[in-house]
Amino acid sequence: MKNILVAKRYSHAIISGLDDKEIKSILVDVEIMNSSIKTEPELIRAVNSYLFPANKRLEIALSMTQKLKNTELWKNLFSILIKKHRFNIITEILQDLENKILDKHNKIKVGLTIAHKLPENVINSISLKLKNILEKNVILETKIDPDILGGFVATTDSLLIDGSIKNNLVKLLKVKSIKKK
Amino acid sequence: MKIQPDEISSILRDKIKGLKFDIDIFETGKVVQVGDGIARIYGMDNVMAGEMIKFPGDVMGMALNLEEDNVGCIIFGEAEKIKEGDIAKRTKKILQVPVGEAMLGRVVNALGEPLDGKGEIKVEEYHPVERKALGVIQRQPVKEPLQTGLKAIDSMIPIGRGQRELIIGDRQTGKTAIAIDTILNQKDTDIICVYVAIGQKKSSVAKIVNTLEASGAMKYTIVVIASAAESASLQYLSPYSGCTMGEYFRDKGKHALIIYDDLSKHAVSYRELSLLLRRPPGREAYPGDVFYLHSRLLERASKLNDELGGGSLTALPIIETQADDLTAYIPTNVISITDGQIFLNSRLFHSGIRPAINAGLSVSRVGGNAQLKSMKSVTGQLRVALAQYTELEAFAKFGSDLDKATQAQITRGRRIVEILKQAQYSPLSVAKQTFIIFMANEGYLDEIEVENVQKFEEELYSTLDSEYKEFMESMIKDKLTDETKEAMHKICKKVLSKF
Repeated sequence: MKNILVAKRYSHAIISGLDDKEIKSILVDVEIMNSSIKTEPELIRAVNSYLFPANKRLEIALSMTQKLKNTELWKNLFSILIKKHRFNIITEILQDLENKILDKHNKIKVGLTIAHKLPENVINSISLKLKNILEKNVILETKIDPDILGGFVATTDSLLIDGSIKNNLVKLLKVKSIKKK
Repeated sequence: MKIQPDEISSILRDKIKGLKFDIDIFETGKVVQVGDGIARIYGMDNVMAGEMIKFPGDVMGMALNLEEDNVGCIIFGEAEKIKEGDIAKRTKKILQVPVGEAMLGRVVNALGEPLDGKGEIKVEEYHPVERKALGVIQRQPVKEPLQTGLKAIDSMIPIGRGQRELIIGDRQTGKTAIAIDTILNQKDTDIICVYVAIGQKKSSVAKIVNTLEASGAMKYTIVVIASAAESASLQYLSPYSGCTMGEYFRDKGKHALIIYDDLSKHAVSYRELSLLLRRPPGREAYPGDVFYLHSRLLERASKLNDELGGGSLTALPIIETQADDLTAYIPTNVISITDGQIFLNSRLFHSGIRPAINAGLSVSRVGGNAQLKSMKSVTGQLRVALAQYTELEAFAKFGSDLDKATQAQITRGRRIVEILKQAQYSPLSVAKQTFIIFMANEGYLDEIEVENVQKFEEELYSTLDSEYKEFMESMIKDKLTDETKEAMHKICKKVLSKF
């Protein structure tokens, strides 16, 4: 988790000074890389491993950049990360880049946890409510967790919006126990 | 009676209908590092310095370092429950502790939670641990005495209500004993005591609590413990918590006494936290704000003006020195903050002078104004005689070779040193203190052998208790008049003739 702090600095360095067009192309690159990392999670470990020679590792990493638009930028980043033995933070860098770009476009990724599958119209109303709270267009990443009993829990990088039945019941319990005292 | 399931569900449905479900919004951060009682949190851009942070498992923390990309936080409680990646929530509240009358007689930790097994403490108020000290307008000069019951202190280094008097000395010189005696002496007074034990052994604190219980002093005392087994963060917090509890009584127009035992360990715990939080180390590796750490705490001791009720909070901080070195960093800091110091010397302690107070290096800068007039009229002479004796002490071995005047000064000095000795847990009333000092000044004790002085003292006190109770009560009410002195002379002669 310490990597977040370092990754933030890298992503800041990548994005600063770019115009809107370049930023959009970076977002596309980030999405491509995210999907390839998802399909081959071993790739990061291999590139960050001392078991392979540095030039070989750079070669593997560069193979990822072939489909990308900003090849030169990624090549430079990867060679720095390999040199500093920090390729393991690439996921965090990509995530922070994505968040930063979305933020520039007044969008935000929100992790939405619900107790069970909800109809589309309910999800939409939750999305609208979140949009009002966050004052940004929300991109929902829905997850089902029966532990929350009902309602929803939405999380962003810096906020936790808890409208779950579990949270309300816990609060109710606390109020009751205080009243009892 | 048969209960239908439909009925139950309809009742439940009705109940649920009445309930209002809310959406709570918390500002959160992610724990990026945790260990040694410290957590680093990523996020929480709007957190306030000193704000309480809630971790999973109801563990609380306090934000201390607000950095560019993370928040340094000290953890109160089981840090083992927190792991990397956990979500920490802002509470938007500054750390608070319970205050009130219900706290009296209780032993609590730095968060005000009971440790004595006497059950929950039912308080109605919570006050923030960090409070700004009162301004100049709200205060008034120290004017009422706080009696410690110790002859050496009440006569030569008097303490006033609202004063900050440092007790300083090496290990095993009787610093805590003075503090405990002072608490015991408040038994039939209106003073409420708070004893804060910082970084001490639990066994030592248990002993102190037992002593207080046995002598009935717990009724008006709160004991705040952050023992050596506690985390540095709790040790850092404890004096502020204790101070908040004492301030409650001061603000209600009452008088309170707080003992910080000891601030050297407090500084050490703060150094530990600061180094873990990666604050730059300064002299002796203490952080740059170690002076402010103690000054803001001790500034909270004060005597309120009459419009605010005239309450007071007297502070007796304790500092442990190494090899009697008063010039170390923390001792000099606290000496300069306080209104005087009681310096305990290990040499005196081992030579049997207890309390081992070094009268030459001890001073009370404001207590003189608060000293009772009767006591004041006998202490001037005492100080002079003691100072002369200290100077002549080296010549004492020449014995009969000395001139008569010097011999007389040495004889008087020896008796004064003897009467200033006092056993632990035996505080003395001001009247008795005044009387024995009067006797020493007037030379009545010069005829008694040094070895017999204490025996004589005991006899004197029992006579005074049995035969002159009313006189003793009236004696201390004002300055010693010629009439009173005459009566005292008569009593002295009478007691001496019996001895």
